[in-house]
Amino acid sequence: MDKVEYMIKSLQKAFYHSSDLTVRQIDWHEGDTAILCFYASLVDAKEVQKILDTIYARLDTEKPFWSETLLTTLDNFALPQAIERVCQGETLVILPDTGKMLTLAITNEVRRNLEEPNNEHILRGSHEGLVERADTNLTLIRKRVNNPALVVKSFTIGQQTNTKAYYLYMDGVIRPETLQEMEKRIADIKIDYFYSIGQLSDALEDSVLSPFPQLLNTEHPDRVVAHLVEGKIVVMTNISPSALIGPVTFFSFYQTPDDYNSRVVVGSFYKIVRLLSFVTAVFLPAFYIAVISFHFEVLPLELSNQVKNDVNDIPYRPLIEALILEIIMELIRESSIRLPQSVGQTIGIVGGLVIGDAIVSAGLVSNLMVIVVALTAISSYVVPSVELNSTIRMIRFPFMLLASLFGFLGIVVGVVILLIHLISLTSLKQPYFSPIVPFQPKAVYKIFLRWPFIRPTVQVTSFQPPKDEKGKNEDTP
Amino acid sequence: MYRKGIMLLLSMLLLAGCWDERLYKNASVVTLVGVDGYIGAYKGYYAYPNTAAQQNEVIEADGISPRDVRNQANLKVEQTLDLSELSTILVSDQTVREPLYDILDIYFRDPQNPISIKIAVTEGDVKPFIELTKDLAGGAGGYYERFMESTEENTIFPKLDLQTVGSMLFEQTIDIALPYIQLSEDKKHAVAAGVALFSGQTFTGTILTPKQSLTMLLLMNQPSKQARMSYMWKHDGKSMPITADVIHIKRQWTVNEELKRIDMDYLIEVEIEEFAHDHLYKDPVFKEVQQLIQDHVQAEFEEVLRILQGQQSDTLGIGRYIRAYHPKMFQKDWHAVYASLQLVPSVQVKIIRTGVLR
Amino acid sequence: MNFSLSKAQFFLLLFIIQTGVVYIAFQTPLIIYSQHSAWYVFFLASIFHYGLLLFFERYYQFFFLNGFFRWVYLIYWLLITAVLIAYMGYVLASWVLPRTPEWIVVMMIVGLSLYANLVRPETIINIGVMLIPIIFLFVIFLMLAIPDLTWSNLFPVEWNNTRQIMAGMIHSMYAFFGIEMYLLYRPFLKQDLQVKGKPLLIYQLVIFFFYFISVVFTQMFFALEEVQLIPEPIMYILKSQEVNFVKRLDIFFIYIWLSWSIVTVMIYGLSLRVLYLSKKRKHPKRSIVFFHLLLAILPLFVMQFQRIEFIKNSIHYVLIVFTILLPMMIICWNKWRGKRVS
Repeated sequence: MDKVEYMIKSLQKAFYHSSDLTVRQIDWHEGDTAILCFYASLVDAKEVQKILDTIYARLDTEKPFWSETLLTTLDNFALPQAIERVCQGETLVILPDTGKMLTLAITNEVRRNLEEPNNEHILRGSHEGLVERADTNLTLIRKRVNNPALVVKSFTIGQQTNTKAYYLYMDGVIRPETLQEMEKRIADIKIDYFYSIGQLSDALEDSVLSPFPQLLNTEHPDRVVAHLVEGKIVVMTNISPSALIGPVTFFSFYQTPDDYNSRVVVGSFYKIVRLLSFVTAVFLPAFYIAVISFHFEVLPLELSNQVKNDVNDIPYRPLIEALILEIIMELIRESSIRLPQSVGQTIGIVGGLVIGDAIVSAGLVSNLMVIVVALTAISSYVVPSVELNSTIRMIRFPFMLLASLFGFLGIVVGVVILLIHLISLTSLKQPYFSPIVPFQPKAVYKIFLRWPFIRPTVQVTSFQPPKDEKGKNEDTP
Repeated sequence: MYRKGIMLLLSMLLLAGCWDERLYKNASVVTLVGVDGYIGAYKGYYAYPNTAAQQNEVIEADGISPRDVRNQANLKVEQTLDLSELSTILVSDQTVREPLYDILDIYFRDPQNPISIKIAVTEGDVKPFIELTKDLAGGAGGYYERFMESTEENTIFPKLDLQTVGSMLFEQTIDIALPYIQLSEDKKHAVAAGVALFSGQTFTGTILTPKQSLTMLLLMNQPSKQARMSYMWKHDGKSMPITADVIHIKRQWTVNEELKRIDMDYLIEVEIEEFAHDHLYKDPVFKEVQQLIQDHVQAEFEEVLRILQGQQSDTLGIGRYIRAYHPKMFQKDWHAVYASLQLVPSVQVKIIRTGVLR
Repeated sequence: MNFSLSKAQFFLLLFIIQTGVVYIAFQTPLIIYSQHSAWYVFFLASIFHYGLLLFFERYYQFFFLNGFFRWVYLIYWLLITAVLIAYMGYVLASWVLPRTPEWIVVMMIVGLSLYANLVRPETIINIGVMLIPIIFLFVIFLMLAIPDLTWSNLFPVEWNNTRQIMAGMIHSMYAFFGIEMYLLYRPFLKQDLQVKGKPLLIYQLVIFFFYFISVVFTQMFFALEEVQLIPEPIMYILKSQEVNFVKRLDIFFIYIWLSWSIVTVMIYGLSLRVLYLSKKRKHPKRSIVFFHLLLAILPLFVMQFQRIEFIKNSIHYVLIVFTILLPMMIICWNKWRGKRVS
């Protein structure tokens, strides 16, 4: 059997006779034959043809570096490497006579247009969003930081899928211990088949079972850059538009680019409103349940008469009443995500107005409970981050349960547990609840106020207070 | 095993929890309480709103103590009586002849009962006062609370709540004067009829008329939002009413320890609110009016002080003042000393404003 | 135990230890024993307290606990914590939770302390930060009572009744219990930080005003005869205040006080941990669990009116021994021996 034919056979076998694989014998320079091998699905055939034409022309002029262009390289042939390259979408021209292979890195670009991220709407500022291609994303970021100190390191995830991924950081701003920790975790990733960003964040987080996200998930390149210059690491993959940012604090989930694009005073006001929304979103239903079933003496007389009228004929216990409404609320949310946008509106109206009104007149739920749950739902959607927002909606259920068991005592117990958890939580081994822990009185105001933007602050790295009482350890080094 | 244990504990908690649960919908929220009778034979009235009928229900019960009355009353309602939203207590004038604390003890002892509520003494039985709230659309207690608050603003009733009353009951050095209410002639609503004077824990039997209680409050330096006094001005054979509203009071007490005499100097600044004769810019008119008010107030002060001393009711807190600043003069049995004090008021009235007319 | 404290953390820790449980109650014994003189007796006691702080700051290196005294303090703190928990349970039961079994409440408090003590020590050190705003609320809402105050209750001022003044001084000890923790935590302060002088004075002034307001308010709000019947005067003042949106402030504040006291219990737990683990131990976690098990059982024996009263009426003598006399003795002895905390 001919050597060429044998090679074609073995290549086809190596690719399991996949239908979209093209393996063909072609003519090469001066009567030689060559083997062309590529995935038709991954390669832009027209472009490949153009480059090949150029190379043919070069071969005729007998230049020594005929094979070197921006997109082509000439290597010694080896089957494993050949397979890897073809899998990455490159085109292979194998020259059996010389034992070399020419690779053409021209892939068929499947890319989406840059759009504003759907789940992170902002009013002002850049409306570009990251997409599902790492090189485009890197372009978007490099465009904003024209500095060689922005370091991009690549790695692959998934022993079987070999997905490309990158981590980015600003050299000189990032703390070495942060970088080491991240590199260690990346090295420890053990995933065979990688297909979703959630797998990566599970692998990188400090405590996976905590309800609070410890890595910030964003699709806004400007948000990515803002965190890079604060000394954080950004991990991006080739398959998802989300960038994972770490280490972060609890309060960074409450920031949006809008804060810094609006006026100082206005931005501060909305920051405070957003933080207060945490309180209403988590505690309001629990508080209401506790008042109605344990401590109704706190209500002033006029209000208490109204409340009494309202709850008098409700057949269920307040907890059940609240659960009915909360579950309806969650159902409406879930269904409006899955439905196309035009129908989603209808669901909102049917769910909100029709069910809300009917359930009250049917006497299942009191008017006040509808107000409480609606207010809670609105406040939980105020959080700019999708993950934290779902966390908040979830943790109010344990609070409601505790409140219905022990009244305010239950809420106090819940709050203390929540605080202990938050205070001891870490993000890349760094305190998650800073600047409360370690306590830095001078940094606390930054939680509530958006200060005139002068220089970025850097994440607190340790649970220990700073060495020097005067200097804050989150200042740029 | 460890997990199972936790699950077991959790489910136990869930099953057994809510020991202290008091569902609001299962409670009859009493807003008005009336007490009648004496130790061993109390009568209690509890008014709570009936949400369906938009009116108030009244439950009546007998018992040997205030708490017992409540237990008896509980037998007559379909839900539990709950006093945590209580806003007014009415006590009949017969009951307060006995020490007042006896009936108030349960309100101080039970943590669920509010102590920022009103208390008043009724003329005769409490029953009609409670019954008249039956047809009120609003809460029964709320009616009396608003009634008393507005009267407080007119400087007829002293500003009191259960806590301040309790605090004064425990002290020898000051006595209380509780709001006293009557029924109107058609028995449809309550009328403020002045204050009931107490000496120590018990009611003296003496009532100050609304006018006198206003004077008493001026003596106490507690003018509220309005403190109006009206007098007749006789001039050229014609009578002309004057109304003055007290704006400020400056008070100074000078104690002479040896003579047991207290000079009480008052400077009262008033605004003229009614004076159809006008022309206050004329000096003689102005002077005359000012003098007239001063004379009247002086006379009223003297009269009220005489009544207070006669009843051994130290509502002004002279005892507190003496104990704090003249401890040597203070004696354990204060009421006797108080009655023998020589109290000499002297009033100076100043008209500082005349409204928007001259 | 490996942690370090900044000045803010150190004083916050002390503040919560000192004010924790007693803030709502210590005024009653003080006023009962010193009558009208309570407020200036307390002022004197504060001066004494400041002197004690200065003494501790000067000689804290000599507070070296040998094996025996380590156990003495371990047991003392364990018992004090048990008493605190018992009192918290008792107050809760009498104010808001009459039906809930005491052991449930005790279990909750101890459980929270256990959870906090099993994670890193920084958690307990910093959790007090969350209390700062609500402690402010306490004082702000106390201010609502100003119109109801009787200023003449503060007089007459008499200096000649020495017995009354001494009794008042001794009962002021409640306000300053736990100050021996100063010696325990002082070595953990960052080396180069200066505490002497201004920081210490500011701390003393803050804690003095915080307590002084409560003493003066109690004295002016209640008649003397009345105070004797009211074991938690601050709660009672709050109970009698009514604001527009809430009828009963005391219900909220009893829970605010509870969370504040829970943090105090946690800090006591931390102190046990620090003291016990200052020597290398085999099973640190197991011993923490064991301490908390004791804490869950011991209070159950005390939660009864008469026993609580007995403890209230006698514990100040114990406090004097352990917060003043014993530390002074240990310091003097070690100074004589020349032994320091490394």
